[in-house]
Amino acid sequence: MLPQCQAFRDMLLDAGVPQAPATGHGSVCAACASWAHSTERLARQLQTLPRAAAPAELEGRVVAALQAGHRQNRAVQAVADLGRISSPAVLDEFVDADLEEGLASPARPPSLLELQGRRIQAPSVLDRLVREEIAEPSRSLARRYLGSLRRKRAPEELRLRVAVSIQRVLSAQRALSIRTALSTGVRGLRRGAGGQPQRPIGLDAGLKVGARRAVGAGLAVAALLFVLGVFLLRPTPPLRPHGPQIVVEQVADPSGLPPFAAALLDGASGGLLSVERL
Amino acid sequence: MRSSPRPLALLAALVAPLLLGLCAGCDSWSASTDTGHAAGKLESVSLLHLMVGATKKVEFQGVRRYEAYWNGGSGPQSLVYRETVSADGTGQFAIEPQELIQPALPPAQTAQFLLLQKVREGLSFRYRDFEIRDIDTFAANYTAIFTGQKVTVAGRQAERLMIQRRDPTDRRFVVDVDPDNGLVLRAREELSDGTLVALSEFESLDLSPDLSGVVFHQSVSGEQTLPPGSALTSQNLGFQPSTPRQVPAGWRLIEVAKLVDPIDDRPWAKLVYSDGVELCFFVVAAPGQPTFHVQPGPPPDAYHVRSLAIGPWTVLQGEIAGRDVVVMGKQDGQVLADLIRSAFP
Repeated sequence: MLPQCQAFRDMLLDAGVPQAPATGHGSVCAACASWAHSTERLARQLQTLPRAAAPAELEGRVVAALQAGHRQNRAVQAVADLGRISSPAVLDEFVDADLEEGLASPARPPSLLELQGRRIQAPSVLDRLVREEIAEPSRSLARRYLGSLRRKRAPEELRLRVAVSIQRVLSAQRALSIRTALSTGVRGLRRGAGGQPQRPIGLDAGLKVGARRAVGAGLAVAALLFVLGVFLLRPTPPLRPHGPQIVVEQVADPSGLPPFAAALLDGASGGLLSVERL
Repeated sequence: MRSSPRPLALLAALVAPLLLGLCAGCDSWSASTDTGHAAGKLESVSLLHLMVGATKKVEFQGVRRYEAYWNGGSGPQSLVYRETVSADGTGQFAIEPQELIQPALPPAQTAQFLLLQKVREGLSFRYRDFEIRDIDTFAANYTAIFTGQKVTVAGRQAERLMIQRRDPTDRRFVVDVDPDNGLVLRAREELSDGTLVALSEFESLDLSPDLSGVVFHQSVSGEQTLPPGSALTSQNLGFQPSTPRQVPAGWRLIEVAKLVDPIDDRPWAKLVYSDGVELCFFVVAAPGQPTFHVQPGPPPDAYHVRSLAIGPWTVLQGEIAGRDVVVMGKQDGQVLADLIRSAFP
């Protein structure tokens, strides 16, 4: 765009009414005249749109956003402003009465004052634990700290790698068994087709046995090849990518979409989102 | 050791039909013609190459009708409108919405819709209509059958192609292409039973237009498309984006752009993936500014994302590891969720 075109368009926009004047640059530049006409039409259409009211909660959200940094200070101040509440007098009377009654009747559970005057026996397990700790302090210390450590979970990638390794091993085993079966079949073929017979037989009988073995071995090889083909051509499910777990929640309201994402969806879909919204 | 030709011959006789059968079952890339001659095939492949990016390489102006049909929240819905599209053959373009035919809306809402269409003309021109976006991925994922049918669209003779994904799908495209320049004059996206999903059709077309009065599109979102092959680095994008490490088989990255949210000026990275025709968008924001009253803590066990379905499109949106992410495409929601998952540790 030429500098004079840019200046002309800026001038019209600054004027607020993008209407091409009959004289000046607009009268000699067809592109700028067309732009002015198109922009004027756009402005007219915009003026016909109903004025949208801001939602009621906008004011509250603006205040909250502007004052967000002072939220903690306000909370601390609010707590500090709270008055101290003293216990009711009747509670003191109840406590005094309880103490006096506890001292007077031995059948009741001992009160705190009584317990202070008695020797309390520690449980026997505590003695044992103390003895062990004194005898082997380093071992006890290690046990105590190891026990308090959080159990670490194996990363997801390790699980995937193990799964892939297992799959490889299984594939190798399968391939080995197929190879073994193939070599057995070929040995059978050779034996049937001309290899050394295990025991002497007549020529006709030998040919019949050889032919039968050849056919049997051939069928076995064909079956194995079929299985191999099915194995190789089977659809392999894609590995799920590792990463955080994603929970998908279906919603019907598109209002949460960022404006440019909504525009992207509308542009790519031809305007479906706008129609649903309108 | 004595050689034994009989078993080998028998083995070969058994293996050969099996291999032939396997090869016959393979769904290889083919551009079959009605005649099947080599020259015809060459011509067909040339036309496919000509179609790649034709709208940006051909000068034209015409009136186009767009139709879309889908099941919305309140039952079957339709959208039909008319627009004038202009392109100068060097990459400049404009779309002027003309009229909204369906649905019937009050004048104010109709004006609003047409205004919005004008605002997003750049996105519509680039992403809405059928296009071969990358010939290699197209060849890998689609079959194109040249039916041999000659049809007339907007006064021009066109070749009719049936285009369908190789893997089982319920959709296909019936595309009428101008053989002289590769422009798609009419594209029908339909279900296997012929139900129309979307249609884009030129009603008139001028290949030598006077474009002096056309105001070409200018980006309003500050979107900057990076040159192909650019590294996804903070130097190029202003921040280091989280990008999917695993994309659906047969899909590849065809476009990377940087854009700025006009509301909070936060930069976002837009990654566009394609299977040759269809598109999938992965849009991720720069990390938000940390605030002192947000306590750091371990990541949650699971992140929740919102899923919205609009026609054939699914949109997933959420905040993962402190970053806003939006993914949209015509794929299943789980596929899109996997795309998000693979982008984060």
